[in-house]
Amino acid sequence: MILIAFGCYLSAHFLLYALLLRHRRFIATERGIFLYHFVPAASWATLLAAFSLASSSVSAADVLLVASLHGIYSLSFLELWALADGGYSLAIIDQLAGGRNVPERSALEPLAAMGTAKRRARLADLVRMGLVEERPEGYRLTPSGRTLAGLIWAIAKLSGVPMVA
Amino acid sequence: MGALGAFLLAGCAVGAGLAGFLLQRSGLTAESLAALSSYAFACELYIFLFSSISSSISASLLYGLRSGALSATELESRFGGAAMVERRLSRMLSTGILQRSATSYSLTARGIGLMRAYRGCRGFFRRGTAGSL
Repeated sequence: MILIAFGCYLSAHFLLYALLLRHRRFIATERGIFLYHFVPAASWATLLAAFSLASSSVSAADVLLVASLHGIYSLSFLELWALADGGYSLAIIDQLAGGRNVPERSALEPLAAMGTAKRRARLADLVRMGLVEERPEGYRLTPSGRTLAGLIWAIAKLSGVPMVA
Repeated sequence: MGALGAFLLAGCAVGAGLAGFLLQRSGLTAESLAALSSYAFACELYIFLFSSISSSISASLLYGLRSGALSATELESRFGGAAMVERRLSRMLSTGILQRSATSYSLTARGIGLMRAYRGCRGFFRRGTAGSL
């Protein structure tokens, strides 16, 4: 019963976005799309957890099942949404796709300028978020930046992803 | 095989084993489905994390600053635009998205498929103008 209700909810959530909300400006922001997924997911998990404590008709397994299915749906949706925004690699492919056979030099120059601009923008974002600070000796990590960098190091080590140091 | 391929292979094998064990032990119950969906979610989260950090400029900057402060000039030499493009092109060549002739780059069939998917997503999510390929 819970699964049927949850399946109907997921269908309605997707259709609402596909038919109506994707045309609205407020949902096109990172904050808007994140809240569109996070608020209902948190509401489902909280309500079901409360029901499972108050009644025997909802089990802990039901709560876990709904939370993880919502997690799979939302994470897949948000990954595709972020992909549509186009990362740096996609910008490179986009440029190459437009010109088919692009001479190496003419392909690299505008892309290198774009890369430098992106790196400067990201560094400014990291400073604004308090993860990196600018000192006379150069840019360095703040304590929270060091924690996040440690997490990135751990994931890179665990997965064998080569990182630029 | 890349890190993603290796993880998918191992993850699917473990997932199939887990599904077999749970179905034999408990049948198709909420508990079995909860365990399997939690496992699938954990796998997707892991793939999301490691694919994010491997391609993220911000993650590369944070990782690079772990060893100490870097001046603007040092950042430019390590994370300069030309070096970033070279790394991305090299990765796309190794994964079969791009091909290189003597003096130029072009998309492979796989790259064209990826580009179509990207443009489809961009059109659906209305994140830009979807061009034709």
